[in-house]
Amino acid sequence: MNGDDRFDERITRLLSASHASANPAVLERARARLAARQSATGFLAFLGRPVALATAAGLLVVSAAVSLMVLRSDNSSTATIAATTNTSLVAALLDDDGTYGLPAEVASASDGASGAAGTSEIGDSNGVTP
Amino acid sequence: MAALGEVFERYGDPMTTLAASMLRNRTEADDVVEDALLRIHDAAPGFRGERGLRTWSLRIVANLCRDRLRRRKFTGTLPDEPDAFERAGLQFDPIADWDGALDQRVMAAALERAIEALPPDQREVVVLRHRLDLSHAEMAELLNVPEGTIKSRLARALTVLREHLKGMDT
Repeated sequence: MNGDDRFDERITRLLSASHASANPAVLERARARLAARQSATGFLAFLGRPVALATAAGLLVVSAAVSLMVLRSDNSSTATIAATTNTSLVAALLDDDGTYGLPAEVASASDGASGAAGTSEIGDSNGVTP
Repeated sequence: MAALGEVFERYGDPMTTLAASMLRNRTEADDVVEDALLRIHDAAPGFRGERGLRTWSLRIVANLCRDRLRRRKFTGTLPDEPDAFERAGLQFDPIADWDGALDQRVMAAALERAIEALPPDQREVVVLRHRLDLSHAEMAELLNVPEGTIKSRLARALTVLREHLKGMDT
């Protein structure tokens, strides 16, 4: 065995004398990752099942029905408010005494004028009055 | 998952040794072994056993190490630890019948630094051959290259290592 061979032998012996021991935490981490992945895929698998699809469809119908009910009740209350507002507006304008919001003497004058005109018109048209 | 524990029990040490020797960083080596275990778990149903389980596990580790080293070209991360053994997370078992003329620990540390300086393909064959005791045929199968390529890589690597340690020769 020459010097080079002896040196090579030393190198190979030194190389084989070094090693690393596995860390048990690595296996635990790998197992935890596998477990997490399996639970995630389990949920995805559940979503694909007919029961899950039926549940989703049922929830859709219920939510649509509830939305419709809410919209309807909203519309009717809006109509009630509008009707109340209109009535009170008309009542305010009429003031409930037939003056249409005008001063009393003006209203009565206009009433008289219109009444006279109405009488003559009636008389003229019918020929009953002398 | 119980089978995964068995794989780790049997091949955890060689897998870690390969990863630590290649990456020279114990944290990264552990990450690679963890990823390799997941791959083994995923690929196990399709494993036909035409290759030994040991060679197959080491092949997965070798591929993951190569990916990491490729990425490291851009990120360039190595722990700032002066001791090559500490940096790589390797242990040195003193050799019983070593001649006293050379401090084996000093020489081993110099050898580790020389291995660090090798190109990854040469480092790979040195570790597989001399640290994990794989045959040329097993290495050729593991690395998917002809045996001739393995032998020439190994010869080149040993020449470089010899050059690095020349001054220590007596």
